[in-house]
Amino acid sequence: MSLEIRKISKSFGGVKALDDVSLSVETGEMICFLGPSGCGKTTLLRIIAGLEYPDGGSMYLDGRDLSSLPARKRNFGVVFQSYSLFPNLSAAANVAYGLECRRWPGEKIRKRVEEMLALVHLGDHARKLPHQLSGGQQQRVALARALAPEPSLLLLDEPLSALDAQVREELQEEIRRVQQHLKITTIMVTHDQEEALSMADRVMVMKDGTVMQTGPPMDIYKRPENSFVARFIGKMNVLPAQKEIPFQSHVAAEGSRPRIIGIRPEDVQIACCGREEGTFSGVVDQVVRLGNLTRVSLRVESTGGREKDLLILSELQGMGEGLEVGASLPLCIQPENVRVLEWH
Amino acid sequence: MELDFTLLWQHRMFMVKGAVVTIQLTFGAIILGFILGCIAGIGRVSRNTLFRSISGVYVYVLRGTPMLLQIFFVYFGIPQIYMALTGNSMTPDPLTAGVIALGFNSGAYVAEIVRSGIEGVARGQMEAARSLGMTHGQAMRHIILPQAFRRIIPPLGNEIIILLKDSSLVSVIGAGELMFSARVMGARYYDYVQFLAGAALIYLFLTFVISQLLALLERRLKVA
Ligand SMILES: Nc1ncnc2c1ncn2[C@@H]1O[C@H](COP(=O)(O)OP(=O)(O)OP(=O)(O)O)[C@@H](O)[C@H]1O
Ligand SMILES: [Mg+2]
Repeated sequence: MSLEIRKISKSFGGVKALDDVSLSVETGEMICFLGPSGCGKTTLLRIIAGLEYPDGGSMYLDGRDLSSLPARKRNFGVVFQSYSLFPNLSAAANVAYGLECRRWPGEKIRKRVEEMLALVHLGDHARKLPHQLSGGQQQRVALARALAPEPSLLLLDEPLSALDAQVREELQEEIRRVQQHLKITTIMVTHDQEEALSMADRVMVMKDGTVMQTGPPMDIYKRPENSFVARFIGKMNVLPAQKEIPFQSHVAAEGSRPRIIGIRPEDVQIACCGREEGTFSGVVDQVVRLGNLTRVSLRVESTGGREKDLLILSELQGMGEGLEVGASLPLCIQPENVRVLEWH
Repeated sequence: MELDFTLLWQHRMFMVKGAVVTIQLTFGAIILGFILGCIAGIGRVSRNTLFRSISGVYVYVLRGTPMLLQIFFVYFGIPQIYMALTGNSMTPDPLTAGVIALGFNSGAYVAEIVRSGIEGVARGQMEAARSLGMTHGQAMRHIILPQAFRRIIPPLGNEIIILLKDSSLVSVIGAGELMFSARVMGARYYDYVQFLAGAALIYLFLTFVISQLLALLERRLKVA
């Protein structure tokens, strides 16, 4: 099922939690909402789930208006951040719960529960109560419970944030596998960029209740549209635009000049470009060796005027032999690797 | 003066009868109080404004006035109102009046216990239930109340013990409970010490039994 969100706004008291948020999610797609704490991810997910009402805007599921449909009639599967299994019910009874609400016949419920628990590899734990399961197992049950009633949409609010790193990685793969197997349209909230980039078909980056950029993970990484996204996703040199650093102008608004540019550290090469343009000279300020990767920060002296010295970060493969603090080196930046992040 | 308990021993059956009335009062009142308290406690968190305000006023009035006043109101006030309305007279039985007064009073305290029990169940539980297709009422019955019930057992036990002791107040309207018996006998022989001590021992024994039973129930619930 496809979901269309149009200009959703929501305030709590004086605080704008969401401001004119629009998004369309295609059938079978997995979207991640990514952003710092308090940017409105949970609020948006709760509005989609029908647990919160927006102040303005509208939502459509396959073209059908959702605004007057209460949570229990939306048939969306929801998994929450903290374990929200019913503690007085066994794993199997938790999974069966939504089916009983929909008055499925007993035999069909039994089969479906078995199938769902097998899907999340918990067939042997059906009789256990939630407190007898580990955190990861509890979230698997929560996933099975959400998926059992064949929901039209799966909504996940930081389902893995309470788990330790290893279990987390396992479950990331698990969720993705199940999602692709069932081809279910899914929205997942996270504030972990790696999680978002590795799992999602598309990522929506948010800040202070607004959408900063929406696109496939590689696009978000390669082509950030503003300095917030540039800084938030991976590492990026965010610098004032100067005439020495060449760039290919793209999507320039009529008559505007670039103000801020961004360059990924791996695109800053310590070498000569073989031509004048794009070659600088920098003094090594700091070297950090991380095994097969070396991070070098270099100070590029201003060419006078009002401009300040620039500190540029470069990442090299390998041990970076022969790099020493204080050495003066040539730097090369290819114009096509320079992103304009802000315009005058 | 020497401590002498021969009179107490001689009148032991009289004291035991008083204790039986105390038990009747306490259990009658806790049953009434539990029913009223559950209704009012659910009312306090209800989405229905009328239900919520009636429950709020009930809790406020019963907790905000002395229990002695409430006992007098039931025993003397209600017959007077009944008389004014119907023209007939009515003589309430002190035990019944006591159960009603204590029950209504304790209902207000139980309501607060039930309310905090419900509010103590994580908000996510109601939302999870609603997302799975339950109505608010169904989620309340199947998910929230069973969890709230476990949380209210300990404070409810406390309430029963308070009620046991408060039941002594009903002696002022002449219900023949334990405190009443001790007072009557003390006055008859002008020897209060042995009868008060005897009553104290019986109260202590009853609170001991009640707390043991509750501890047993709590353990059972934990295992289940
Ligand atoms: N029920 C509420 N009442 C008042 N303010 C709220 C409520 N829910 C959210 N907010 C506010 O709305 C803003 C967005 O909150 P939200 O929970 O959506 O953030 P989030 O992106 O999910 O953050 P996190 O990553 O910490 O979970 C915050 O400023 C928060 O304080
Ligand atoms: Mg959140």
